[in-house]
Parts: sequence; C-alpha cells; structure tokens
Amino acid sequence: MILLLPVEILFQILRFVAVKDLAILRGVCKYLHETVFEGSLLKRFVVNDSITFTDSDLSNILMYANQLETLSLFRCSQITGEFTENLVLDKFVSLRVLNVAHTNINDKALCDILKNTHNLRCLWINDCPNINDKSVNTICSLSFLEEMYIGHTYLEDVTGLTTDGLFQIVANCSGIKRLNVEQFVLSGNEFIRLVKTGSNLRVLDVSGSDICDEDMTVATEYLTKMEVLFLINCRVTELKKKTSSKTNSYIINSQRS
Amino acid sequence: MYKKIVPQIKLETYEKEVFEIDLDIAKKFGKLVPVLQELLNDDKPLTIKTINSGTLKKIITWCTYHKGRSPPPEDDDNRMKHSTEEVSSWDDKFLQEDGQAALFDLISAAHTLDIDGLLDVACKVVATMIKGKAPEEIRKVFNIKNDFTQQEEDQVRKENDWCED
Repeated sequence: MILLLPVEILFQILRFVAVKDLAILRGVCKYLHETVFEGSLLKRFVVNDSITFTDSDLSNILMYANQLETLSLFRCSQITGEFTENLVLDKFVSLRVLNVAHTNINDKALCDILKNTHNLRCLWINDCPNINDKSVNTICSLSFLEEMYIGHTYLEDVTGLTTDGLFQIVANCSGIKRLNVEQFVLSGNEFIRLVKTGSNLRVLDVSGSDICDEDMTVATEYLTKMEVLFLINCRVTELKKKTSSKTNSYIINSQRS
Repeated sequence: MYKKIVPQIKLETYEKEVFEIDLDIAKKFGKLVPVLQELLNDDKPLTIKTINSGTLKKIITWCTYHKGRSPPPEDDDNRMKHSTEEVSSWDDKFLQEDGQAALFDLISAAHTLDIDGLLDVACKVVATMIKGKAPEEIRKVFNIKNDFTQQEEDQVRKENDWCED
C-alpha cells in the first residue's frame, strides 16, 4: 500500500513524478495532500531580504525538504546557523546553489551543510562576518564548485576569510570559473598568484585591489582563458588587449576616485 | 576442472533464511560496502530484519541480470536525462510481475541497502503508474480511499487550477 510507505521512501518515488502529476496526486487523499505539498515540490527555497526569518523557521521548512537544489537566504540577518542543529543533514545532498551572503551564519553550520553536499556548483558567502578560515578545508572538498562569491560589498560586515584561505580554496577547487573577491584588497603579487593558481577562471572580480600596470603586464600570461576581468577601483591605467590570446579578453576598468 | 572460488557474504532475512551472496553483487549494496571486509571474514550472517526472502531473491536476480551491463553515467546532465528515460521492458516486467506490494517491498529494501540503480528504476515504475492519471484513477490503481469531503475536494481542485491544461 503506497500510503503505508515511510515518507522518505514515498519521496524517493516522487522524484520521478512530474510537477503536474504531483499536483494531481495532492487531490487523491488527505495524506497525499499534506505530504506532497510539504516535501517533494520544494526544489528551490528562496527567502531573500527578510529580517524576520529565523533559524527555527528555516528548520521547520527544511524538515520536509529532501531534494532541495537551491537554498538562498541572502540578507536574512537573523540566520545564524542554528537551523542545522536538529536536522538530518543528508537533506542537503542535492544542493547545487547555496546563497548565505549577508547572513550571520557561522563556520560550523556552513560546514555542516557543505560536508553533506557533493554537487554544489555555486556558493555565495560574501559579507558573512561569522565565517572565517575554519570553513576553508570543507570548501576545498567541493570538487564541482564553479562559482564562488566571497568579496565584500559593505565594508563593515566582511567575511573573515583570509587571503591564505582564498588561495587554498582556489588551488583545491580547480573547477571554479567565476570568482568574486571584490574589496578583498589583494596586493599586486597576490593578484598574480591568484590568476596563476586559478587557471580555469573565466570571470574574475578583483575590484578594489591594489593592482598596477606592471602587475597587469606580469599577469597577462596567465589570463589566456579569462573572459571578463573586473578591475574597478584598481590602479591599472592602460589596458593592452592581448594579441596572442585566442579568446576575447574583456577587461573592465575605471579609475580609483 | 578448476572452479573459481567466489567470495561470498551471508545475509539473513526476516524469515531467518540465510542467503549467500557473491561479493561482486554485495558490492552494489551501498550500505554494506563499509562492512564488506568484516562480513567476508565473519561466518555469521548479517541479519536484516526489514527485508523478506522474496524481496532479497528479487534483488539478487536484478543485480545478477544487470551485472556487466554498464551503469548509468554519473554526471548530472546524464542523470537528468535518465530520470525521464523509459524503463527497459525487462525491468518493467521484472518489477511488476509480483504485484504492487512486492514492488513497494523492493523499493524499501533498495532504499535500506542503498542500491542506486534498482531504487531509481523501481521508483520510475511507480511514477509511471501515476503519470497522466486523474485522481479517481490513481485511487483505483493504488487502492486509496477518497477521504475528502465534497467541500475539501472542491478546494483542492481550486488549488490545482494552475496546472490544468
């Protein structure tokens, strides 16, 4: 009897049921009406910009979400990470996009989530004051990571990741194509080291770094795959379009004011 | 003639029947992988009370049939493709021939033992039973009683308006 199956097994079946059929299923009986609604439809959970949304709100919702692919809590300042405490963490296994930018999530919670995801493609942890290098090792194990945002947009609430942590991540997650380290204030040498290490980078934002023309000249040889490089508020004045490059390198620049 | 000795492990079912399972099949049971070495050394069978003998036999047959057939590719694009792909006619017949109760037992067991390919294909078979049917037809297929009042049913229909063609 299908209704007697444990809910986690029912959800296994529902993975293969189209959304339209899931809606029909809700009209079959009371039990399916509740169960199908709460769990299986939820692939994306996005609550951006809420100052009232708390950890316990989130854990109540996550109880039923077993195949979440996107979790976005952008600018939910009440989120500290306590929501992972009473959860079975394997529910993050299908997560592909995690955005906790501008929240107060801590290293422990971030690691709890990331340890259980193996498919994460995109990670936003910019402007998280409670995240620092303790998360680095766990981030390094995300072998499918393609995009990462760890720059700062507001200077008062910066992510506590150090440049060393950053290099460790870039060296380990070699699949990263897009990286934002805006306002990380890299030195010229650090910038060179970054593009040298991150040889698969296609889009890189190092705006606000202390990079001069000479650094750019040195870095050019490592920019063959780069498609867009953001150098806003850096000290770069002249942009030599690379002639040897097979791909188009667009470099956007404006002067430090 | 030289006979190759195949390493085996022993599993005991709900009915206390002991099965000897070849190592290359046992390897497909994700849950057992961490303890395989122990099981090989140990003569005592591992008891799995939640699985009955009929189900375990089916699992062994399924794994034996699919042994040597290439597993579905692991990467994500292909996984998505596979999820909508039709179930092979062998699988469809094999999984349905013992009726619904046996199929649900098989799904539960595949989940317990963590047999990926089997879990997916068995779930797909059930999903196909749901596909494109009206609520009344689904109730009939799965023998579910309609416990909505008329009023509630109207309400549900209203919620589902968005997905009507």
